[in-house]
Amino acid sequence: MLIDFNSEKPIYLQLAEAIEDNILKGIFQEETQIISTTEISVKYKINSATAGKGVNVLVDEGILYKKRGVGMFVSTGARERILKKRRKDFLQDFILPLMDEAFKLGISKEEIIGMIEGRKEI
Amino acid sequence: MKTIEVKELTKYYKTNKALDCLNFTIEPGKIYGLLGRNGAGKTTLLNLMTGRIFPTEGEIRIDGENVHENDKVLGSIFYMTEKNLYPVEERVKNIFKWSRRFYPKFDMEYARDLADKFGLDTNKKVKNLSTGYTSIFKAVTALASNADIMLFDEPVLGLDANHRDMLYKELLANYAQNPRTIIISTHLIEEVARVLEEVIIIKEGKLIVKSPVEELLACSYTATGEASKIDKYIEGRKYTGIEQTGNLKSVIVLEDIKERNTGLAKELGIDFSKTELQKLFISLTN
Amino acid sequence: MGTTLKVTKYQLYSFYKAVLVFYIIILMVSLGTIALAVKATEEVSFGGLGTATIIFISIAGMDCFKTGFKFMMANNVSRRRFYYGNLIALVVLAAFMALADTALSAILSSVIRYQSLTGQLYGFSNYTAEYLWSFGLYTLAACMGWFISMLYYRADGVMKMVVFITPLAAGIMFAFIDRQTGGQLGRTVIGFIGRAMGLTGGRSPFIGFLSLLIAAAVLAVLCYIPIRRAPVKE
Repeated sequence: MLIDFNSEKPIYLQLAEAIEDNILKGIFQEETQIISTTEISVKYKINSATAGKGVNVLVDEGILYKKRGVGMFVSTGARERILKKRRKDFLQDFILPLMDEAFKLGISKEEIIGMIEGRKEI
Repeated sequence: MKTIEVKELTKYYKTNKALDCLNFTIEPGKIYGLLGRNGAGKTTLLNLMTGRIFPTEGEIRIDGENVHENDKVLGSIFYMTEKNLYPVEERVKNIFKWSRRFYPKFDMEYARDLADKFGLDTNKKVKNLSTGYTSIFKAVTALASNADIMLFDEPVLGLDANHRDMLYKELLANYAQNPRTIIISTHLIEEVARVLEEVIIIKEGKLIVKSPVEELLACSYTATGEASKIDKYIEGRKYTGIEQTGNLKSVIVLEDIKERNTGLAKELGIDFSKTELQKLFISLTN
Repeated sequence: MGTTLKVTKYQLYSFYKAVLVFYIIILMVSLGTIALAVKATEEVSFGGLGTATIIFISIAGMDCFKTGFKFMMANNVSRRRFYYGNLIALVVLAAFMALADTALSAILSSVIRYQSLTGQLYGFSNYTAEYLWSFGLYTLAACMGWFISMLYYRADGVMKMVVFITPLAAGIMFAFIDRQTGGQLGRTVIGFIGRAMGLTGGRSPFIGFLSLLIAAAVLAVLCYIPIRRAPVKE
């Protein structure tokens, strides 16, 4: 799990996203245990209150659940839930900034599409 | 739980005012950063919290009790001082033994484990430890004390990057296992920024900031762009910490991140980024 | 065990090496004297090991404060507890050294012609008297050392000089007034000390013991005043 702490977002959100990424990539499988808040805190040198806040965001969204006295588990259907959420944000987070940058550089929509298709062939 | 109340605390050294009417409360179970430039009064404040010195005016209460000569309250605090107070002729392992007598919750096994991890030779006399190992020895004693309140004054003094990293990790592991009030006074801010939950910033003996780190950082952002454009952007906004190299100017805008004007920035070709605690600290205490 | 006694324990622990070295030297001196006495044709007499102990325990008193105080502050022990803990430690040290010296003088006087301080002053030797009198004297010496070190600790620059000069000035004043009164003051003081120590009148080391203990108690109380608000100095 990699976290880029230079991002503008608050640390707990970055942590939540990093966990989501790992679920999407299949590193954290559904119904398996993930690393504990304590381990996160120590490994990434972040305050455990911050780590707990990040994990709780995912618990609230039903992506993770707590098993008392055991630890934190990935919920069934977590991957699906994350995909749905991320897809919804895709336009806002990726397409719009892409178009902004393209506009700055004077790249047309067709050229962008061409780039994407060209990339596909490679 | 241990709430620390600092009430109208003023300290003079002869005619020199070290602390000027400080008023704040430290909530239990959080890691606080006590930040300030050299001579801002950090050590004076910690010394007053443990009754090592006496306030000129005001008081410090822990769970409602004045700390002055109060054994019950004092016994719940471990204070790692920057200067060494331990008998220099004594061996480290013997100091562990004596510390266990005064701190009944002192965990000897944990102390030995930590000493092993850091490569601290407990057979050595205190006077034969290097600056770095003196810090390690004091920090290990502090962590093993299991006191409800731990105060660290410049805990990483003389430590290399690797040991600093290890120390903060051990501190976090200890805290995660057993949440307690921890106050870290340091001037190496960037590497401790994420460890802290709240910061207390003092300048010339006065409290200037007491806030959760995330909140503090969300109250400002850095704007970078062409000098004249930046000047235009900051018009009518509160700002600090201007840095300029050639025609490129960056400034810390003191405004909630949510209120920044993205449209105007786009128009002016200005980039926004998160303010680093260190940079914010420097501009606030300058 | 209460915090006060833990302080006592630490203070005694910090004394023990010096005490050990001290008695090794004293034993060697004693053995040397005995050997000399056995070889010599004439009688060898030797007295007053107690003087060495007085010097030793005064220094121990002077030395007991700074290191112990800093260490106890590092352990967040209150000044009050440190004060009582240290006082008990000094009394225990005095009691132990009085016992050791009484035992030593008993052994020496059975082998050679030996007279302890008590014997020299009061002209008779009785173990109970010797023990109590030495104990009182050693406690006073320890408290005196402690008091001096306390004054030095609390005094800064100018005050240190004042603390240093005051006894000298008092001595000179005393000599001056003594001369003005034709030796009256000196006689009065010596008379007072003689009576207080039980040297004049009934020649009682017990009266001496009581007076020494009272003087020690006064000094011990005086030590509390500077310690009450002593800051940690680095």
